[in-house]
Amino acid sequence: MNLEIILFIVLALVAVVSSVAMITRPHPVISAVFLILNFFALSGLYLLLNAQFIAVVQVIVYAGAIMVLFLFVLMLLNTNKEDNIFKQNKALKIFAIAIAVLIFAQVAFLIFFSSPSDALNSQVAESVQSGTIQQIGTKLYTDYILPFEAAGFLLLAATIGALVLSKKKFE
Amino acid sequence: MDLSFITESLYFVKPEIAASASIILLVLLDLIFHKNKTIIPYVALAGIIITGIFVVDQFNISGFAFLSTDNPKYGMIAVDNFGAFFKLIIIISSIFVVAFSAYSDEINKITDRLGEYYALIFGMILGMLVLISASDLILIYLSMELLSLSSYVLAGFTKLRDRSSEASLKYLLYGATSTGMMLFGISILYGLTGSTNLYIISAALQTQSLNLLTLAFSIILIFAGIGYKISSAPFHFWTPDVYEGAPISITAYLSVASKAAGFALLIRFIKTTFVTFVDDNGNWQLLQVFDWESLLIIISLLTMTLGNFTALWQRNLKRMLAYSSIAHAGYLMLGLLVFSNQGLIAILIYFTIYLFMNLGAFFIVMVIANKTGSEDIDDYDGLGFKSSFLGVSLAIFLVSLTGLPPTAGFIGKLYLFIALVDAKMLTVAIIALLNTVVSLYYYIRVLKHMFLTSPTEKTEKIPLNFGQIAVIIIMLIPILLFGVYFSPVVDLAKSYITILGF
Amino acid sequence: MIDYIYLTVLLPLLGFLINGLLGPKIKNEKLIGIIGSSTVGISFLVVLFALIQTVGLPADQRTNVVELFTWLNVAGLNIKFAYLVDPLSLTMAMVVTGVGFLIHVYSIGYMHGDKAFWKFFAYLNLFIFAMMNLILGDNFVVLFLGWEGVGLCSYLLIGFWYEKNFEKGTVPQAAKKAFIVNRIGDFGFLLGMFLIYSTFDSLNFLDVFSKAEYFPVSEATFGLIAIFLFIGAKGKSAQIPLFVWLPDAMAGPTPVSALIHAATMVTAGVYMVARASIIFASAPAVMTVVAVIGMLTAFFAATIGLVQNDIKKVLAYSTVSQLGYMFLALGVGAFSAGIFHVMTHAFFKALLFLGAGSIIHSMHEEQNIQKYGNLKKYMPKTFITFVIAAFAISGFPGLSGFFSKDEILWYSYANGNLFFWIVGAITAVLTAFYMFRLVTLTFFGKERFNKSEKHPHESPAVMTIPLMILAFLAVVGGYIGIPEIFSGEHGNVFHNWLMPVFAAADRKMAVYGTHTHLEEIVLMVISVAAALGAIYAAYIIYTKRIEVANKTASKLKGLYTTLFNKYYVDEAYEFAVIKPIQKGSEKLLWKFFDVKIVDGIVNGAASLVDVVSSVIRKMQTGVAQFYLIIMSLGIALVLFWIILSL
Repeated sequence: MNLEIILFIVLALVAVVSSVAMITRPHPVISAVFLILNFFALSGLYLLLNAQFIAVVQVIVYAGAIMVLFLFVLMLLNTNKEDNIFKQNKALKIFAIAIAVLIFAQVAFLIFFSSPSDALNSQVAESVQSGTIQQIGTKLYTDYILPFEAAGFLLLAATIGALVLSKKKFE
Repeated sequence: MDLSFITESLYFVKPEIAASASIILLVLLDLIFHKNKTIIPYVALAGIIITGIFVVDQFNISGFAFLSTDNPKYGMIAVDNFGAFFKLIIIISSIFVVAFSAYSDEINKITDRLGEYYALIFGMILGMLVLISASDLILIYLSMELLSLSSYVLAGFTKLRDRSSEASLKYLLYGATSTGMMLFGISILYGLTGSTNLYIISAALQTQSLNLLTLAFSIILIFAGIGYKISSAPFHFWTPDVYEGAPISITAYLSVASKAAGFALLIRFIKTTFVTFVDDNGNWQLLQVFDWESLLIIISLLTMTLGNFTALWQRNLKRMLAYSSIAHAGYLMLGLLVFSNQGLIAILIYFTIYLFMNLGAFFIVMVIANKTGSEDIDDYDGLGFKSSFLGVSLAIFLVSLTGLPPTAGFIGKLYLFIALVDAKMLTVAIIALLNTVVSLYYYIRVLKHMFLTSPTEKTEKIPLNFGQIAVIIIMLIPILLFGVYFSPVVDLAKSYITILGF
Repeated sequence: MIDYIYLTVLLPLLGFLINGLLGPKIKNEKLIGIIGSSTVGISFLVVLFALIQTVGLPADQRTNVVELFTWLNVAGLNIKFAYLVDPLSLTMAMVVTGVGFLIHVYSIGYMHGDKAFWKFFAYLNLFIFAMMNLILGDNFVVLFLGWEGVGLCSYLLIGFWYEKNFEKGTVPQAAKKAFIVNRIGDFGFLLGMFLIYSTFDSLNFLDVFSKAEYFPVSEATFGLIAIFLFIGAKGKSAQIPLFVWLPDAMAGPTPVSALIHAATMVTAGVYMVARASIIFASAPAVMTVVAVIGMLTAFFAATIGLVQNDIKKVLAYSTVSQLGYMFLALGVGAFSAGIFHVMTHAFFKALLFLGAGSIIHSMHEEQNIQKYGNLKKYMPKTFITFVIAAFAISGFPGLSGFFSKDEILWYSYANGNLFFWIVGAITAVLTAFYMFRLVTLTFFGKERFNKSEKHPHESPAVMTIPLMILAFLAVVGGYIGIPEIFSGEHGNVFHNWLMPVFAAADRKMAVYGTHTHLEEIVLMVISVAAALGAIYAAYIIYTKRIEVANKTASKLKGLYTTLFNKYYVDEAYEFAVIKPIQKGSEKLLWKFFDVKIVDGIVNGAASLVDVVSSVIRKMQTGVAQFYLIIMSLGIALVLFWIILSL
């Protein structure tokens, strides 16, 4: 077992546990903290995949900026413990868990008990290169210029949407 | 580095550029004319029409745009007649939606927000235009998000009613979940094939030996995202709540344009990725991942049955039309599951007709709701006598939605059923037919309330102005004309089924 | 004029458009009536000239197709909007436009003063338009278009007086019943069309029928197609078990009952079966089914007619019964006899209904024959024409009904068996009895209405002249189909005229045993004598010996109530079909699926709104999660299926 696999297992475990904790905690602020932990674990995973830029952006944008915003909102709203929907409907909870287990079992079957696909002739050597900011920038402005522009308009629409929804009720 | 291919590609995306320019223009105009916004709808209309001219200009032009530098045979966008046809559907319905909004009391109450309203509508238009011709999974995802995001906001736009906000939030929740699933599927598909371009994926699928189970898993997950857009079972649950809560103009738009874009995506995705070749009779040979036909048959029949049977009990017309539009998604899928050009022609014909009949029904429901403030079926009692023009027009639209002759809806269903019979799927045809019989009941019930129930003292004459009458007549003409003389639609559909790559 | 046959379709459409769009503006009843009637009248003339032209052609060239335009052309399915002009369609077209024209004229008088006078004429014209498409269409699709069109018009016209009550329910309910029952039939018809297309790759009449004659198609396939088509015919032509709508259809104005529910639309099923005669002839088992259903319908409807008191109800059951006769004829392979009866029946039944309308009109909407009496004194013209029609339907020798009914009875024996004949003859006796019970109670005896309240009077000329023309037709209409025993070998003109249409079917059917003329004459004499006896008995009982009727009724109380309640068929339907469906869909789909699962959480909670409004909001978010769970469940199930199938 080399270091990469050990690191992967650790980071993956942290990611899974923190995300489960995030959705099960009744208090939103604690949830948010677990979300930050989750983001960090994910960025670690990105690093393992030679995606340095994404890893850094993940930390700066999500763990940094967006989470701060989240926490601000949570504190401004002064939310208390959220009442759990499942408390009112136990059957629903059991149902949901059962389906989750079912899908999990299916995916596990998929990974472990079926014949693997052909390996891709992946360019491992180049992958370190392609994770750099320069490479990403070049790709974004050549091959992926259209998705990039689309993302721009997506953000514009989101801004307008946020503006509309956050305004008080129209008279 | 030679970047000329980007500028050359711009030739293929003129409609999209026009739509993008309109968004920006609308946002700016909203800031400039913040006192009086009467000009905004006209600008929006002009923008749509210009976009439409570029779309028409694109007819019979085909080619890839935004080529990949690694594999310059394929590109991000596939411009072809199939896409142009669906884009035209989007443009026509957008024009109608501007008309809807102009006559909608809900929208007219919020004139100071018109800039954002139309900017978001253009967000939807841009999203749909890109979605229709996108041939790259990343672009597909992004344009779908652009479409969804704009529609979430529009669904909750009026905010006058709590229903509207609730609709918006629910829409967002479902949308987030299903696009999340779709992204998961995309990532698996990328992991299997090493590309996000549909054409390269298709080539990879045909040459490599892959774990079919994993491939199937990714397809199912991607279908979850698309299925949510076209509101097919079991991803349809959001539809009634959102359609009921959203302003009628948006509901109508979602039920036609958004659905058309979703169908275009579904067809393009399946055809370019999994169809290996098309034989002389126009039958598609699919890559054997799993039993495509059975899966789509089950989904299609489930969708129409759930839609129709739940619609039976609705007393709110908007909600009833929402369930009916779910059922129509089921009918439309019939055209896909035969996997032949015949079926594709049927879908194009059906959409052309569905555009007019569904928008027509919504428009009249809106005009009536403007006056009575309600969409409850009891408020339609005796309406056929008090406002006979509205009553008769609504009756025609509903009869057409049922699929009875001599309206165009009959032709749409007829071609779908012919495609089914041609593919020797008699059982499916019979179940679908039984479904239309069921649908008859709830459509005709409206007619019964309008024409066979005496007006109550509540019933008032609905005043109509010239513009409203004109809009209704413009939608009535195709329904009645194509019901009898429909070779133009059929010819049009026949020449617009070419998807790039075949 | 054959080439201009499309005018007979376009003119009524034009009339519909003019009256439908401008009717409320015109306001002048006369003008509306003239527009409505003249379009049908001119259509009649066009048909008449086309008929004359066709008669002039040699027998093998009498089938002409008038193509208008190609309607759809997909995947080997080529459907033209074309009209088939042949002896069969011309015969039907003559009846529809001819009788239709008279009824239009009559309606000018009958509907006088109705607030929706224009609408009535618009609907009537629309009906003629649809009916002509049904008759003239040269393929199953055009026929089906007309088929649905007449169904729609029937629905609209039954519900014409939508504010009124009808029996236990309302007029709209009666209209809805007709519509729904017809849909069951239509569904069968559609299935039949599907099968025809998948078997013969065509829906064109001439194509399908010529293929049906020579293609190696199994009898089972023919049987299935024929059964589905017959289900369609049952719905439209009110045969067991789908006849329940016709008596309720009497909720419509009387001219509508005469035109649609007696003379024309209800015979569409007969026409369709006759048109597809070759398919039926290729499925002998189904032919027997048709004959038996026809016979049973004829008999049971006649027994119900014996005890009804509503004048229109009696006539309605009589129509069902006569339609049964027609199917009996078709079932034994006597297609031309069936069509012949369609024609004569159109004359005398339209006359009976219009006469009934005239009576109802003058009796201030009173329809109970027990409250009539001695009306011959007040309305002599109606009386004479009505009695002629009653004699005709009873098969009085020399009148039209005699020839057609006798022909059917004869073939039911010659091509069928003695049992068919016996039931048919008994039905004829019953028919004669209930018709003259009706005549006697209405026109003879003493006035049983309050003379100070009601002042019966003869109807205006615009109503009585159509009656007289129809009476004339009811008398002489039969002489074009004089049976061969009177007219000699091949002397039946009507039979020879339709011969080319049914030739293929005749060839295909088994050869029947030969019978002597003596047998025919003996059977004829027996049935005629019995019918005359029944007429006399009815007259005597209901004028002088009314106590006989009452005694019999009280003696056979069980039978009487059963008949009076129409064998409880409606109740049986209610109990066996309607209730379970209502309950099922309500309980299972609506109450359980939507209310319990979906709305049970959202809207079911809405009833608790006043209790805790905060709970509702949580419930609503709960629903969202529930939906998402279902979504995931769907994916999980599909995955399961894929894992298992790979």
